[in-house]
Amino acid sequence: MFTMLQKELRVLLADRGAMITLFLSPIMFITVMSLALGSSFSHLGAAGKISVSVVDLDGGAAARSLLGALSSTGELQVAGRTEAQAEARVKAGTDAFAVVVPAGFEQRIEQGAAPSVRYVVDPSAARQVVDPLEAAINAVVLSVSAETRTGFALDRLAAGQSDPAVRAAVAAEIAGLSRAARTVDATTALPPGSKAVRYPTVYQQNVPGYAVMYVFFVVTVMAGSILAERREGTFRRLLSAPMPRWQLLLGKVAPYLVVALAQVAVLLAFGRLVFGMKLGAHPLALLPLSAALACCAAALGLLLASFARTEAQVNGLGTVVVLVLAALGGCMVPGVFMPQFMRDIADFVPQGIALNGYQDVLVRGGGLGTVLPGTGVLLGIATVLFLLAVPRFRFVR
Amino acid sequence: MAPVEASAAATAAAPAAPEKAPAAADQAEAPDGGLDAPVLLAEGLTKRFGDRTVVDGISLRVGVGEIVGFLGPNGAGKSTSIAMLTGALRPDAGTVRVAGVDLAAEPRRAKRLIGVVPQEIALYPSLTARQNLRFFAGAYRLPAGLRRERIAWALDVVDLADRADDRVSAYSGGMQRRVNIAAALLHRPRLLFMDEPTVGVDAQSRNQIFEAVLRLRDELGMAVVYTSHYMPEVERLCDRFVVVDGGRVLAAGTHRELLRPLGEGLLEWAPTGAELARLPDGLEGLAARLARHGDLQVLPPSAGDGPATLRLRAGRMSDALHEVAQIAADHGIGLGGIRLGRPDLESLFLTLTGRHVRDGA
Ligand SMILES: Nc1ncnc2c1ncn2[C@@H]1O[C@H](COP(=O)(O)OP(=O)(O)OP(=O)(O)O)[C@@H](O)[C@H]1O
Ligand SMILES: [Mg+2]
Repeated sequence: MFTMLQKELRVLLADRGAMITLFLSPIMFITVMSLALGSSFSHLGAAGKISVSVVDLDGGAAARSLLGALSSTGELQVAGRTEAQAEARVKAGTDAFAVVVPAGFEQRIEQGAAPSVRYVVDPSAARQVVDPLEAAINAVVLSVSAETRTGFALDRLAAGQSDPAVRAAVAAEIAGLSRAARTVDATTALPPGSKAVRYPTVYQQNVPGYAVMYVFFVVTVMAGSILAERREGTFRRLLSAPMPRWQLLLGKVAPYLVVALAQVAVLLAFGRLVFGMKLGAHPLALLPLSAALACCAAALGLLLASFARTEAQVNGLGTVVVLVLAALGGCMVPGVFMPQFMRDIADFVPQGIALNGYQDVLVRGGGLGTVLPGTGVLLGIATVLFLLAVPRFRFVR
Repeated sequence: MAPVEASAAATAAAPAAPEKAPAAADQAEAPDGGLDAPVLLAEGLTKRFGDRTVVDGISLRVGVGEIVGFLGPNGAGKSTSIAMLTGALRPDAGTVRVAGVDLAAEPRRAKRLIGVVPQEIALYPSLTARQNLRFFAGAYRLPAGLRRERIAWALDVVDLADRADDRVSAYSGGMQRRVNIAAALLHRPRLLFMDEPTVGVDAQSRNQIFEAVLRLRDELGMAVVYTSHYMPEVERLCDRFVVVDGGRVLAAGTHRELLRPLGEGLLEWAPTGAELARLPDGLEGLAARLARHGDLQVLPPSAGDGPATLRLRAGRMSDALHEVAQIAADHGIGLGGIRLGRPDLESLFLTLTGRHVRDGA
């Protein structure tokens, strides 16, 4: 058994194409895609607040009060800018959004008319981001205008009072207005039992994503090597050796489990060492998950080798299957960017199950208990694939 | 299509093993080691692929130290038979016993006694010869302490010791063939199957391979089943022959036994166009007239010959020549188109199968 492992790894190491596919190519993908997607990930969750410019063309107290109100929400990063600056930033994609407070803002409020603001929006920004933002800012504008108007009314009331004590009371009321009008005492809670929502960093998405995707390239490499042994007659020779067939089969499958685990280890180490990717609180929990993932890939490779007649079929069919499953599993486009039905599909694809498990550990700090269900499902899938493959498997053409 | 008595002779006559057949001490041990017991006894081997019967009841008997030529045109079923004889393929019917051990019942014990040189170069091209041999030594469960010595010995047998650490892909075709053989020798089998071991090999490498085979037989008493398309080669090497086609044994026996029915000599007669025109009933008429002579037999035409060629077998060459000259004179035909030959395996082949051995299937 050890002899077969040693032979298989030697042959694989000598196969430059396979080594590039299995190791070099995912490293390059991780690097390039992380650099390319870094900015879109930085809009996500912990990665940073949405930045918004406020252009004050009015200059009145109400406009200042609006700026203060927006800044104090804590959800946005607000800065006052000139109109030209704000438009340039939106154009450049630096900001998704700018709020222009037109001249006469305060005057309209004072006259009892509806407050007016203008939004400058990046035409390529997602509606999911812009629409709620507009609604939220509209609400703030309304509250600021209501507060301003109340302030005016109280002012007029105070002006008609001669009693200094009453005047002072009204002034205190005005001063307290803004706090009462704007502050909502809200807390956020998750339904009991659900995981804390955390977004992956670009590396925490790309490293496990491409690791899972490329582990499945073991499928084509393994099936190709099985077809080569069939064609070159080495299987025929081994069949006449005093060794049961199941041992021969195991000797052909086991090395690729090692290869797949090595891939995961190399890619995670690369992410950790080169990009400083966090491995979460229980990195060892990745081990059973990765082993189950490797079993899935090897079983799929065996299935492909059982049905493919030529090495061209292996490469063509194998590559298509691997890429489509990787896309469905969310290896290339992160789940947070995908619609719900695609996320639901990912839960049934081995790649999606594995990736979810990896992110539970890397991003959400999960441990062994968190990954066991996924590991079980992956082993189940591997068993089914293996049982489909074995009856059709042939050592000779 | 098989004429005469050939097909009946299938398993007949396993000649006594050559005198020099010492069962070498370190050779794989066999249970019933009597010198006269066959090292291979196969009966009624049959294999169907779908509804095609590719091997149809082949029986084979090989004595200790015997080199048996297993001959047949492309697609005759030789490799399929060898796959069944070596346990790589399960037969649909038939039994195989290797030195008395039933291959189906005790595959691992039987397989230790067998070596096989596949028709393909069954090696890992990206590994060196030595790495390949080390791997196959492991697959044959050779004790670790013995491996180094056996690898050196096998490399010596095929004369490759000095290039053993080069990658197989860097070897010439002949060298690859020789490593292919070495990989089958490591466990010193008592019975070696060689499936076209000299394809694409130059004369020098071929001679080295012959010498290796003879050395294995002489030093170890190894029995060999040898497949080839190249008749002069097997004529020189083999003690006995089995001719198969269409999955059946057409003839079996020693060189002399096989060629006896072919008579003393062979004639090929290819009259020129002008001469043919002068014949009243064309070539058929000529054939009919020749066939009337008791000592001449007209052989079936072969695929490789031109259309206007008669092939004749002569019991006694002198009588035949006399008769042919007579007929030629009667028709005013010259003897320029006549070729004489001694019967050989090639002509036996042609007689039995109507094909040259090397014709494609
Ligand atoms: N696995 C298979 N499935 C279907 N047909 C097969 C299979 N293996 C062999 N055959 C067919 O069986 C016939 C005999 O093949 P085999 O390889 O035994 O011939 P052979 O005598 O070794 O010929 P060659 O001289 O070309 O090596 C061929 O027609 C071949 O196409
Ligand atoms: Mg063959």
